[in-house]
Amino acid sequence: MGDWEWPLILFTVLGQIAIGIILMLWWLARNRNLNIQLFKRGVHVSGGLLLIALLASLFHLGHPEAAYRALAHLGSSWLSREILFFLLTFLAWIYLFRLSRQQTSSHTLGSGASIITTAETAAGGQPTSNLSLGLGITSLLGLLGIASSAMIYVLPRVPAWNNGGPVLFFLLTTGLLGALCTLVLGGNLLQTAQKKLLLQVSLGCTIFSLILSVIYGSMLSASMEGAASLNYHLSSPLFWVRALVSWLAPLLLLVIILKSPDLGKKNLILTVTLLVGLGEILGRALFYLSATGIQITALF
Amino acid sequence: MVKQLGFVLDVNRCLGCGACAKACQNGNQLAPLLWRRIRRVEKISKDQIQIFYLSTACNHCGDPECLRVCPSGAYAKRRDGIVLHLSEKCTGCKSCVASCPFGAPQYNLQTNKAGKCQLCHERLDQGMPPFCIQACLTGALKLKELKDIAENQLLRLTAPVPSLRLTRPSVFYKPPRTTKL
Amino acid sequence: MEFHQNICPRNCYDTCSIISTTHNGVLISVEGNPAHEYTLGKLCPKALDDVKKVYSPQRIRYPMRQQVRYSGFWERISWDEALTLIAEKILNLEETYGTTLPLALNKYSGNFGILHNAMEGLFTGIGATTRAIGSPCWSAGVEAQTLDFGTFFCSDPLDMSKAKLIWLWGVNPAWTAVHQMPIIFDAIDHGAKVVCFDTHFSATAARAHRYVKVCPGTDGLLALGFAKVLLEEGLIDPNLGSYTFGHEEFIHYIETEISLDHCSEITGVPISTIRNLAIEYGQTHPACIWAGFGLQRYTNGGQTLRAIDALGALAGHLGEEGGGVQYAQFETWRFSGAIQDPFHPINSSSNADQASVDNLTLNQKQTDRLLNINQFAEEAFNCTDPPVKMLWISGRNPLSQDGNLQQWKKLISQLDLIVVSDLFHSKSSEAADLFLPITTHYEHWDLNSSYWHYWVGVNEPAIPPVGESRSDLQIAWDVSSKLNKLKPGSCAFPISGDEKETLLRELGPPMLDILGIKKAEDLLNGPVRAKYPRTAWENRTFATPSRRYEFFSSRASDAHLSPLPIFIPPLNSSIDAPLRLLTPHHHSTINSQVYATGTANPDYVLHLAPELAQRYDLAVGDRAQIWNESGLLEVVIQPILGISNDVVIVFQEQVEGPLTDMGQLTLGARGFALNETFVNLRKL
Repeated sequence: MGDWEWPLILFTVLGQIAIGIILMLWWLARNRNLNIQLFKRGVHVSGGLLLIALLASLFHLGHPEAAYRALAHLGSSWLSREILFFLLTFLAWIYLFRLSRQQTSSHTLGSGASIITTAETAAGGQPTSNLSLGLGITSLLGLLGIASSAMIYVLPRVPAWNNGGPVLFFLLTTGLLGALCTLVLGGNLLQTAQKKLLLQVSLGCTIFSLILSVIYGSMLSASMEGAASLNYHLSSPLFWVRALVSWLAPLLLLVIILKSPDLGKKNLILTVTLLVGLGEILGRALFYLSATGIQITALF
Repeated sequence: MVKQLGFVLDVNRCLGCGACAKACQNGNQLAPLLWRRIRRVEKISKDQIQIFYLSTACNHCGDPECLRVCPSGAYAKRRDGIVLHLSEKCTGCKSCVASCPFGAPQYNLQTNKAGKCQLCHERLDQGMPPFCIQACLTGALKLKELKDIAENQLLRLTAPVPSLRLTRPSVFYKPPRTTKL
Repeated sequence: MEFHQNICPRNCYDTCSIISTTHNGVLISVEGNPAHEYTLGKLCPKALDDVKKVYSPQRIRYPMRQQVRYSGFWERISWDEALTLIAEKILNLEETYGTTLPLALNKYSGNFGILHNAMEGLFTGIGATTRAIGSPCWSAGVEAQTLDFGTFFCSDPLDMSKAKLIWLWGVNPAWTAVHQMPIIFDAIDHGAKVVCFDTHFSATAARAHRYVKVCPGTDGLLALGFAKVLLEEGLIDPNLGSYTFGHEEFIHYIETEISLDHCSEITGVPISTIRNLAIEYGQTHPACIWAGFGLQRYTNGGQTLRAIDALGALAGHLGEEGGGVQYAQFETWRFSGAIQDPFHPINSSSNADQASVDNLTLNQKQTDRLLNINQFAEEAFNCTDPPVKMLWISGRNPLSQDGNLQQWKKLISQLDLIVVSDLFHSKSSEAADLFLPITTHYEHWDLNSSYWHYWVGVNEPAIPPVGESRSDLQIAWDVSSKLNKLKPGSCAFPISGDEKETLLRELGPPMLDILGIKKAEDLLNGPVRAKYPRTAWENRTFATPSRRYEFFSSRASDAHLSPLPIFIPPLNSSIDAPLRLLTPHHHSTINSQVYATGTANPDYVLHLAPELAQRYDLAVGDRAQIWNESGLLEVVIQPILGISNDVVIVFQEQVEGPLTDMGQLTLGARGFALNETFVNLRKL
């Protein structure tokens, strides 16, 4: 069984939220109707989260001062690749940050969601392509980083991890928390259609995550070590808290929000986001805690 | 010519006494860590009992997982097959600890780095046997160049998971006898 | 870097020759001596930790005084204060009682080095004192073999590699004599078959071809059953008449008194197994039996050993290269004894009779008050004229190892002064007033023999004493010096000397002859193997009164024992204590000696058959209690294989037991029938 890996939990969950937000911004920017204020907020918040995530990851190392050495083995080490992609993501984010600083702050936005300011107009002539490109590159690098993160755990020694599970789960976290956090950040800056889309993404990710977990769980019982991981999950109260706050609660609440007339239940959205955030952190903690490596005890 | 050194354990001579593990710990000044450990295997049927011990350290695999996953290049494979952990390059990321199917690399809380059996390569280079082999009371544990052994008389240490065979551990066991009741 | 020759002085078959390495006066490593044909450069895991043990933070480095017994509050005092306290108490007792008999010594096998006999020398030098004599270990078997063969002698351990059949009977060398295992494996490689007889499936059984579970205490009957099959199958050595005595009487006894049905029922071994094994034993030459010490720690232990000896004789395996019945030997212990007797005329002719074996001189026998070491507390408490008032415990931990702890408590309460000399605190030092720190074998000169192999060697100091520790010999000189200073002439033991010179004086002409060296100094070059033949009794000329192997021993009948080896049932369990408790040695310790450094004592583990555990509703790791009328012990449950349902095992923790049948003649006191202990069990 594994340990309670705080640095890794923070690094992966916060990093995934940060990249999720940028991914959502990119998606919103695809038809030129990203609110510039939302862009700024999103970039600032994701940058902050990314920075915290990177700092947290250092605490996983026995020698944080030697972290640079971890880039030395790109040829076969997914950890090296992860660090490279996260660093590149951060560089790309700096570009986004520069873009966000170039926005004229004098531009007045109307109050309320009824006044839409597209990125192009808000940027005062800034070509949307730049912004979209920046968001796109950052998102892609970030997604590669997340996939590399997940690949670190695809190990023959750990049957629970030695499959597509880690990659899918990490990406689902990215989508779910990215969308929810963007909803919280966006608030009234989002058009109803955008809100609806983000809510649908959240709901879709939740449902997918639930189905995937059931399939994954049933797959685990195939190996003894996998069964141990599964058993660890099912017998841990943390898992049931997680199931409640990041599967059941969002399923119910997201449907309620989607059914409300103007999708404007701000407090409810915040509640779902916090619950899901808690659930994902617990889920990640369990991911590390339940890891059961093969113990070779016999001759064959 | 690239060769592969490996441990060969005659489980019928191994008493599970732990002299190998203790000599390794004392010689390499590892306490409280142990790079070599003894596992007891027990198989019982109505008219016979099979109890034997597996003394294992790093298996100096042909395709070491530790070497594959290490992000800082702190693992190297020598021409004689020894898998070395280069402490000066280690960042203490624990990737190797999580990835080795045999639990060979261990995290040392005193150095905040990983560490594992280095096959006493400095002693080997001086023509001396590794501490574990020098200590083995019954001659059960030996170090051999693997191409010299008739493999059909030996068993390879592996788990019933095909992917684990890929690391090609350089350790072999003589088939255990059973005790008749 | 410097290298030194050391010898492990523990009470162990192997008595290893060690090469220690020091650097700037610090011990840095220990290795087996490759030039020693039994040690062969290897050490057991216990000895591998010697460096840690020497420098252990738990080791006591200064003389300590405990004002209130059991308080655990120890204060450091100087050697002068400690010696003054001891000397004044001795002189005070002598004045009060007009004799030094109130002064008692209880010393045994903590360190088998010969120079440790300085403690006996000191007490002899003081005058007539009270002594613990005998052995808690092997007395019945020693006597059995002495009756059968005339002296106590075994083949060289290497001889076993030539056997074609090896019966390991009640012995667990995989744990207690590891250096014998490669010899046994070599025999296996040459085609030998190994059968292990024991009460439980031991680590040795796991390496044998076959395991035979024998009900505890019935091994003698099993041997007689085998003998019966040999008779029936005509597998008796046809030449018995030429080198044995009384075989007809023995055969008559077997024919008339032993039935295989009864044998099978009592021993728990199926008749077919008895028959097959006996035939194999009768047909295979050479075939060797190694009888362990545990076999004879029963009320019938001596008879058991005699029956096994007789089986070996009947099949013609005695004197056979790679055959015989091996138990142990005491032939390489014929030291001059000068150290333990200040009145001993040094360089006088040998006094290597049986008495010297037990470190007694004629002088002492006449004056000292001798108490059986196995009933020491009880006998010492019952001494009234004069009572025992001062006790010195050396090389022992009786409060952990003896059976009768209640008796010890009573004795302790009447003592004025208890001195413990040891390396570490122990159960016994909890009750002591004074603790004297002693040196390890890396810090003093010594001289060591084995009771299994035939090598004798000098142990040289590798490092100066750690802290203020002193050797037993130095302590003896110091006490004598203090006594003579306070009252000139009060102690005949030397007041100073040279350890090395003292050591060399122990190698008198008989020892030099045994070792085949010209002068004592020759032994300083390295251990030497005694010039005894590799195969015991190879000429089939024995040391008995009849010069033959004695199935029928008149010395036995003189001692009111049966002249023939017979089966006497062991003690039976009762309703109050239905389970037999066995306490064999564990691989990690010898008796209660400290090996693991810095670790607290773990729980006592009770090993028992899975079915028995089930009957008491116990599972692995459960806490339970075993108890009988003399004690109670909390244990943790661990089921093991191949053990009877009426036996439980705690490796090396001992509870009260009665005495063995033999031992009185050879070692002066009967042995400790440790394995005749019965207990009850309950879940906690």
